[in-house]
Amino acid sequence: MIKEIWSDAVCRTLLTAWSLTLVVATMLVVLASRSTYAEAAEHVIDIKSFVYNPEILEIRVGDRITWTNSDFVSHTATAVVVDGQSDSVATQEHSVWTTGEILAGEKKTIVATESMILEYFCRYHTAMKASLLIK
Amino acid sequence: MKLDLKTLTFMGAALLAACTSSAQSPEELNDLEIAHVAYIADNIDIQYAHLALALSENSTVREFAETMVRDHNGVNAQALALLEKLGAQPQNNFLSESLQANAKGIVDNLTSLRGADFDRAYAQNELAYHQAVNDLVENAFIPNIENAEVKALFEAGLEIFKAHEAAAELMVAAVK
Repeated sequence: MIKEIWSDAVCRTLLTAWSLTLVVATMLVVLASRSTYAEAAEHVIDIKSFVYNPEILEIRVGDRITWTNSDFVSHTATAVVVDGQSDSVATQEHSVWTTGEILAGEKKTIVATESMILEYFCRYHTAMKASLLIK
Repeated sequence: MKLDLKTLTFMGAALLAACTSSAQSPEELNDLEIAHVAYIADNIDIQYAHLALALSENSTVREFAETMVRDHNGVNAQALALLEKLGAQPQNNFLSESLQANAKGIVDNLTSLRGADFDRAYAQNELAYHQAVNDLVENAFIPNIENAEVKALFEAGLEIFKAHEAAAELMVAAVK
């Protein structure tokens, strides 16, 4: 009987240790992935001669995107809202964003979000268009 | 006889064409006279834009006009900064005066219009004006500018004004 009690105790101890180890390991994996996720990249898009360069930029959620205006006139980088979408729909399903006016020689930065609209244009010069690509 | 916009624009273009055959031609202007023409040309378009903002309710026209005010003021600021750096003053000349005289007639005509008539006239004038000025800058001014910084400014300005010309084409189509 003593042998049985001891065996049962050993088993319970081992199982408990294994469970704790599993929990700790899982927590470590989650923390590691979060720290990798938190290392946001910095990107620069230069506006020159009425063109966004690069016109297509690959980014990750959380990255910082900076538009620099190398032209003589103001520009913006503004999310394209598809005709027919109401503002409320656009707000609910996507992130409508804009840098606002970027004066000549200045820069503006936004942080990439998961649901942000990827196509954008210049509010003042509507032929200027570019896009983002989330990896 | 009331001059219509087409007649006025043709007169302006004819005046410019006639000027090229005289001793006072755009190609003969010096850098400071060219700078003065550019400054006047910018201000004329800003004046047209303010008129549009006062008289038009069309969103396409208003957005275009706001861009004209913003951009032409921006170019003027760059030009004046460059001239200050060079220690120079722009010089008045025959072409600046003819542009101003022509603009007065166009402003008089535009202010007599309202609604869709105004929108169409403004759009057509913007397209014609930018086409004429861009041709002048590209073919008469830039090849003859002596100072490298002034030339670079005009080359950058031409990019801006060509974008305006393209936008004016879209505006003409939108207000037909």
